[in-house]
Amino acid sequence: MFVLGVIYENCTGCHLCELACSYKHGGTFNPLLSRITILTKPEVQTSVQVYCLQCNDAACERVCPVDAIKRDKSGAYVIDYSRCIGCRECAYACPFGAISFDFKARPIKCDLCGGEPECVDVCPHDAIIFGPEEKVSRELKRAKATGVAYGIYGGAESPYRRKKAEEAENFLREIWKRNEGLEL
Amino acid sequence: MSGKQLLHILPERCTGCMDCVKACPMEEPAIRIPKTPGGWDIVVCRHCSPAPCVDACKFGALWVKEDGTVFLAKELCTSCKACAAVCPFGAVFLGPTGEMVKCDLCNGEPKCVEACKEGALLYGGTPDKGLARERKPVRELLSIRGFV
Amino acid sequence: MSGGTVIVGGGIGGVYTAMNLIREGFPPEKITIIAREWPAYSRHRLAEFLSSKVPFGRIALGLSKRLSWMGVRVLAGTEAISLDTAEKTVGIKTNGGTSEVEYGNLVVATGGRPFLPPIPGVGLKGVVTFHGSNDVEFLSSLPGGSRTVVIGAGLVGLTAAVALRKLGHGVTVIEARGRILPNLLEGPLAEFVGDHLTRLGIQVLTSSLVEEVEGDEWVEGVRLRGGEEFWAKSVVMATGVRPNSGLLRRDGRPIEVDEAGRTGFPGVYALGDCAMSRDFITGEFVYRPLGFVAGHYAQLVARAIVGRAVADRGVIPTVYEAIGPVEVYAVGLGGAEAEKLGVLGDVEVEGGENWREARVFDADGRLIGWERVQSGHLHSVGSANAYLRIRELHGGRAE
Repeated sequence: MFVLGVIYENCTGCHLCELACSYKHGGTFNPLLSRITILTKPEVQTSVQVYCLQCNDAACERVCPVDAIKRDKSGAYVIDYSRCIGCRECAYACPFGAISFDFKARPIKCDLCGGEPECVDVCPHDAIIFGPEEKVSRELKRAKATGVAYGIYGGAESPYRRKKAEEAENFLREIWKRNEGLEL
Repeated sequence: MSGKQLLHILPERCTGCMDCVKACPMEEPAIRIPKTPGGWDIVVCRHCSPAPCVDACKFGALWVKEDGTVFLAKELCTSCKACAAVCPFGAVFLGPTGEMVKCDLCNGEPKCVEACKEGALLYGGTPDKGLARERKPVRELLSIRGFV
Repeated sequence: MSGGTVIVGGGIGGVYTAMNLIREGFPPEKITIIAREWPAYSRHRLAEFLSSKVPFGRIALGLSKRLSWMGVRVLAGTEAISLDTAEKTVGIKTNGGTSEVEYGNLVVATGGRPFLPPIPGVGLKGVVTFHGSNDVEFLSSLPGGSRTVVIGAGLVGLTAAVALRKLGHGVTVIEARGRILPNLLEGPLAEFVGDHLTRLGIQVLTSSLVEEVEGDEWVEGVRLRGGEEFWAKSVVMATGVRPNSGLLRRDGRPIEVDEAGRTGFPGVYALGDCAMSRDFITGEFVYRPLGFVAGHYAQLVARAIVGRAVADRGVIPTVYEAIGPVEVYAVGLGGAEAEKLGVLGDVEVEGGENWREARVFDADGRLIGWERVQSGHLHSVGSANAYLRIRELHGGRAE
């Protein structure tokens, strides 16, 4: 089965995936309507990626009172909006906060774009990867190993880390400016 | 924050203090907190959309107001209980006098939310900050809702 | 009043037809309601009315006051006794005598009446039905701790039994068929409800036929076919409802209608407990004297009268009732009804400590009914699912 993985060492918090995701699913560029959310904290040079892990025996699927969440061929749990009654139980049940709401309060979640995730395509830093389980886990290991080798974990500040943080901060400011008052 | 205001219900935070039940201004409290093997469940209207109860009501007594509240007009209700038959949450139920009871969100100022000190009931926009606060293990949550 | 709409019947069907007509833009002053009893009230609350002793003013439908205030003409205390479909007039009887009312459109919402089986002694004093406010008034006037026999274990009989038990009476329920709620629930689910009724102190007898209601002037007891006797101060006959279809047909059968509630006569509509209704799942017309069916057709008839197109697939039964501590859910067709309609396939029953659930399938394995009984839960995950699934499997959205 194909899975989505995020190499968080690579993520600069540029939010491009959010824009791509919201455009692909709803035709608007709005991070609030994205299925993937990047929470950035430039001051500590970290970003946390909130996205659907497509759990096995997923909580969202189990709590849905109308069986509107079903796993499709690509392994994604997909919401059937013809059945969804908008009770939001799935969002409250998700332990990762990966289900959010659109402005009509309908739940939205990652559907792996039917097997061709847009976020993977647009990520300029190869932070989001999609592929067979073994391949993704290998990529993640490689990223961790690289991180260790280049002193990303622990250790002192390096030019590479500073550059990453600056990149993220600039991009965030730009988005902030464009969407005044938007909380990210 | 844009988007409509919603009642967010997080039973895993509930401690069973019943403050919300006491705070409910309805004659028969529209919120009920039953004990379950895993903790306390919160039985109150989710204000679904499209709500099955609205679909099942043939008397036009249930409808969705502009702000998203699923509203029960007692004047039009005949207590035929069709809504109770299709509600998966038991949130619209038969009161002791035979009237149907359902949360009306107190016209946009839910008193239960004001009363809840645990953050188990929140009223806010669609992406709400309060939701992101500590989450309990999913297994615990499922046991509260009776799935494990 | 030519061109006006005359509604015969001041019950739920009539009142909601008037309301829907006004909603569709029909002028209220051109609506006449012929009602024997006014204000209208909901029969669904009789059991709670009895057990919690709420004042009658609270059970009356707020809507009926609203209608009079909006200008709807209500002929209270009158009864329609004849119908001339050629001249388009209804003959009515009031205290003062008889007269005639002309109509443009006529809505027959005369409701149903309780069926009284031909058992000797059903005419005795103390034998009541559970259908109207006077039945409830009589039952609430009984001294505490008296004994009552309820004949018929349908929803009406059982809710009445529980209400009487709550008032402290000794209650025996007698059902002719093999289980309680025979039309609604599958065997194991009915058993579950029966167990809980027994725990409440209600005696439940199934497969028992009543031979005679005994007494001289007042009821003294009930004798079964086997010779067994039960003494009782009152008897509640809850043996089903028959249509009040006398205005349109003499054989006592329900009035036949099309999918918009039209009868065969021009400008004459019928709905509610006096008429047939369409089943969503099979598309067949069936007799279902249930409140929401009347509500459904009240919408359709109003739409048809104002000339809007009506495309309706029928009603999915959605029944809920609290019988003492037990909650009964039934969505779609029950096994018995499915069998009668010739669509019964498999029935699956599962259960736990304090719940039982049944799923009824047709011959092609599609879900056509879902039932659940439970105690101590406050919600039933599954009812909405069943409702949506049935709606989906049998042809899209209900409207």
